[in-house]
Amino acid sequence: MNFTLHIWRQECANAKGHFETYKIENISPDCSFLEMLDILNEQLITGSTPHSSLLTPHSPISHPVCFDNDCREGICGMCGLYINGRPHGNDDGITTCQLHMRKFKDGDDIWIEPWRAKAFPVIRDLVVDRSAFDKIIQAGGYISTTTGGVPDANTIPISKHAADMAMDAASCIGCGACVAACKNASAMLFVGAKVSHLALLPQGKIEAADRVKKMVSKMDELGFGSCTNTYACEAECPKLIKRQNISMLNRQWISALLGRDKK
Amino acid sequence: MKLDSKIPAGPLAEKWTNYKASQKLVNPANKRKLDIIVVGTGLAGASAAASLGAMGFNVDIFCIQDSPRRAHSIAAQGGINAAKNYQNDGDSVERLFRDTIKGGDYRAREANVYRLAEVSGAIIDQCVAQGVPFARDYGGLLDNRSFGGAQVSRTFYAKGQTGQQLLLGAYGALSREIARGTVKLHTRSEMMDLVVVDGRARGIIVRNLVTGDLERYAAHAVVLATGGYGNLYYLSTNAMNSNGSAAWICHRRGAAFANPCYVQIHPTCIPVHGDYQSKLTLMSESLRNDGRIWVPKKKEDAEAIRAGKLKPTEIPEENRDYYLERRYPAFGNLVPRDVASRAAKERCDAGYGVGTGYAVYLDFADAIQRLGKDVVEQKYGNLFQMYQKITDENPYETPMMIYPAIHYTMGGLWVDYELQTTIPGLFAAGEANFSDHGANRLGASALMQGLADGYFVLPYTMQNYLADQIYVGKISATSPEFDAAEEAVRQRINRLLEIGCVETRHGTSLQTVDHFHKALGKIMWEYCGMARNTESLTKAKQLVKELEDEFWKSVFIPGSANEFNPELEKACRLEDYFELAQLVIDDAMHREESCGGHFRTEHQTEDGETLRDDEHFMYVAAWEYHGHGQPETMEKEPLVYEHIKIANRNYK
Amino acid sequence: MVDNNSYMNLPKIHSITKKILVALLGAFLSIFLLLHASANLCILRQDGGAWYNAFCDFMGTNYIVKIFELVLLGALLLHIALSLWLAITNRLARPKGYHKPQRSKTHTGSKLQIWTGILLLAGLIAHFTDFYFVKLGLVDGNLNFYEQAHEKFQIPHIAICYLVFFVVVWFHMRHGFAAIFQTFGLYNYKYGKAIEIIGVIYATVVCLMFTAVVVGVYFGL
Repeated sequence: MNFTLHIWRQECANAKGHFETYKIENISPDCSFLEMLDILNEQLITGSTPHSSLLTPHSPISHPVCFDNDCREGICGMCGLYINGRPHGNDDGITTCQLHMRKFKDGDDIWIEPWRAKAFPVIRDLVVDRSAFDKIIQAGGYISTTTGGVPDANTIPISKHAADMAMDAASCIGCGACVAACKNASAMLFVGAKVSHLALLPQGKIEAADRVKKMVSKMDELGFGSCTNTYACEAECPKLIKRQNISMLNRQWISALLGRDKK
Repeated sequence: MKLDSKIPAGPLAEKWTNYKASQKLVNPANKRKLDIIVVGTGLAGASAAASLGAMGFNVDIFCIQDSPRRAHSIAAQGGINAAKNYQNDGDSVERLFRDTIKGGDYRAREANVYRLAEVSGAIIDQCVAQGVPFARDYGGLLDNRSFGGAQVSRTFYAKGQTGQQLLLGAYGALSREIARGTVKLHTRSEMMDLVVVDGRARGIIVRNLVTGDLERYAAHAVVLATGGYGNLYYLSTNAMNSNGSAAWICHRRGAAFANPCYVQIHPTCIPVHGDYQSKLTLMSESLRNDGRIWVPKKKEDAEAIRAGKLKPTEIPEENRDYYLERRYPAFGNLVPRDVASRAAKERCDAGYGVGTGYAVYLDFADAIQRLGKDVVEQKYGNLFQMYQKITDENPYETPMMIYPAIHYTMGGLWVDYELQTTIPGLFAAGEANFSDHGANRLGASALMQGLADGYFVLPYTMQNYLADQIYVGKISATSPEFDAAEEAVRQRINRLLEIGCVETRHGTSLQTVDHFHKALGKIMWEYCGMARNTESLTKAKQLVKELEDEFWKSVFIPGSANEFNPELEKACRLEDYFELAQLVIDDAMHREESCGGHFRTEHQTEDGETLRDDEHFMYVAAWEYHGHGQPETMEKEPLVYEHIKIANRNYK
Repeated sequence: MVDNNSYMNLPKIHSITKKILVALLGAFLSIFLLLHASANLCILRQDGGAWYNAFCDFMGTNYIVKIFELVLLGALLLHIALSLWLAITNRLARPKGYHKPQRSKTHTGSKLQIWTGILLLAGLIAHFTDFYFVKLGLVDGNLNFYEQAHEKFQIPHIAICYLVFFVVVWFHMRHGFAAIFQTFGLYNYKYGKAIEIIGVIYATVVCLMFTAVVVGVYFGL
């Protein structure tokens, strides 16, 4: 298969950035999207890109396209490209590394962009800084335990229903597709998933009010937008995390606001 | 080099209790005067940093990814073992200990394994308290399933994402400590060197992967939790960025490296489909419960399939070779990982492979007929879907194709009972050390070991080391040792960057780092993979040497040292892999026996099973580095089994 | 932790709180619309406007209603102000947009909400000029709203404008209704679908009531 790639190139955080066009040929339909980029990079490094006349002269042609990736099996959350108008490309419930070239048509033009959000500044090319997510979790996205001194695991029974719901929410991989997809660059699905995961469990209920206040404050502070119920996040989440988690977040927020005040 | 495993005296079951009762401690006021560096944020690293931070130490933690949560522990699917005996099926610490030792083919250290089994229950308690949503039954209590190598159900699981949930639990605990200020997080930071001052590990040199700056961090102790070196084989189930460099750097600085040839190969992975392939995806071991593994009986059928002229479903029953059921009637398709892997390789090498020639069928037609499609879908639906996404084939209609792949490395830095390497002050935890799995790891034990080391072992044993370090005062990062280490890293990077510059860009010979990595992986897989012998290992050694020479002549690394440069990162790691590969080959060569994941074709039973040589090889091989290109020397740590009765593994 | 900006210790309104306020006010306005539409139906009575004018009299003179009127106006303005505030912060959250337009499967209502809202504001001003401002004496016009309605709605382009206006109201309310439940945290697996359906029904009923009056008057019923 042959493709024309339009890839966002940006040398560093402060550089201006532009789209660069590359032609790539003889790609197997079984090739994954990232492997296709590997092939492109191989050609860029060795200088064997076909149709190099398409390359604009000012570009550092030898430098391969930078993109984040790690596990390549859809669980680490490291990869994330905005492909032809959809985070993680044109398939549901997958990460970019699970997207295969057979999902495209031969001769397609493919536009590849980094996640765009104020809270996710570009580091280089398609690599963005998602440490904002870590900061939100650090604000309170955990249960305060120290090692040791905890009760036996079966001391508190948890209904299967709650455990399963918590598991669904907890399967978030923190890739940022929800933010990338949202027209407001909102992190509500990410925050909602963590808040509901923990609030659904008896162990997490104790700090629930405090947690939601801290996490939402941090989310606002970091420059994420707010939710306007578009649910693009839900449509693009590679782990199919549901909007119900945002509803749960709102509920937790209201009860935290109305709940017992602290001095 | 002297190996002292520091195993505490006393009966096996009391060793850990005795150790804890008599070890030295650091008082709370002094803890905050002590600095600890933790490299790696997987299960072992995150749990260690969180626990040490909570105790009051000053911890700096480093990872190469953009977030601690990306560490490859996250990809573990199956579960975590613990001797809770919640199922009332006769499980106990003793039984978990014995299963693990036997699973490791009697090549693991008794005392460490016993301690692992002993703390396993507390791990589950800890994780539940952190909010890990383990699977539960309708009564609200924890559910278990069974795994290979055990007769009890002791595996706790969270869907097929147990590793993810455990890591997120540890990441939560770590995040809490970061918020409290006891742990400082450094992401996109790669350890480039270990700084040893007066024989003790005193700090690390780190490359900031975004800016390319070299940074120095000094501490009273360093913990290495950087995982295994499976990516030496290029194609593996490991993440793309998993690497063995941090451990190798420590080895260069004097830490002994133990049992490097023990590599685990997982039998059920989606096969290689092209040269461009970067990664192999694991399909859970559980599939072998209902799937039947076969290849065509006739070579011409196999050829026709490879040529695309024949479909597997068109081959009649009598022309199929269910080779596992044929060779191992008692265990059939459920033989252990190493056995299943070798059998698949044997068939493919003999020319019966399907697909590209390196694949066998895992067929569910029988199961679907017997149980109905719905039941099969309930049990394996998500795996089937994953398979279909990758291969575009429907496993309900046509058999799956699978092939073994590198999965885990049992070898690693040599550590004593305290998880301290041969460099005082340098500790190794999780897959990065060698201690608990012997020559083969059982399913669902890697998670257990990582968390045991981080939550319940290091926080104790490190205090024993740190107790007298309060007199040392703050470690300075401006000492000559730091200067020298940083300079060495800078020179090393420059040396790599210079290789491609002497020739013009459009010269013919320039190659990418990946090109060499793939070539190295192929050599290792071919000649030092599932089956090894003197001849193949000799050849591997020669080929690796040649490839390394070629690498130093014609690898091209674009860009500079002072920028975000993934090619440079890969080049540094590959440089280390070349040395590591030599050691893996040497170790495999010296171990004239077959055990667990290490299979020497010269040493097998008449039926092609592993043949151990307990008389000569019941020891840990710990290797010492003597400079690039110099042969390493080996020190033996004898394995003394006081408690357990040694037996043969038989699966017929 | 010490807040560095403590000297400008303005009460911070979190994004979710703003959302909740917008939703609360939206719910209030939706209920008002139902009342408004119901009252309008009086116009269709063949009584020369007796009922309707009596109702307008009551609305125009009762002091409690007058207070309510202020509350309503305040609610409307606050709803608009908060929505715009959110819309602006949301724009700022993505300073550089995508080259390729988004192709995710989404609820279009949400993307249109701010625009339907702005359209509604424009329409509302026109509507106020026709009726409410007349009552306040800000513009000239017939104070008999029954007659005023007949005058206006029989002009074809005004009638059409009103119908278009109602379609916009429908879109705004249909998304708003379900969104209110989501924002209040009441949207869940059990009732999610039902809430959306009820939202469509509510919006449709209210808009049909309004439409019936305009169409009815136009055709001289």
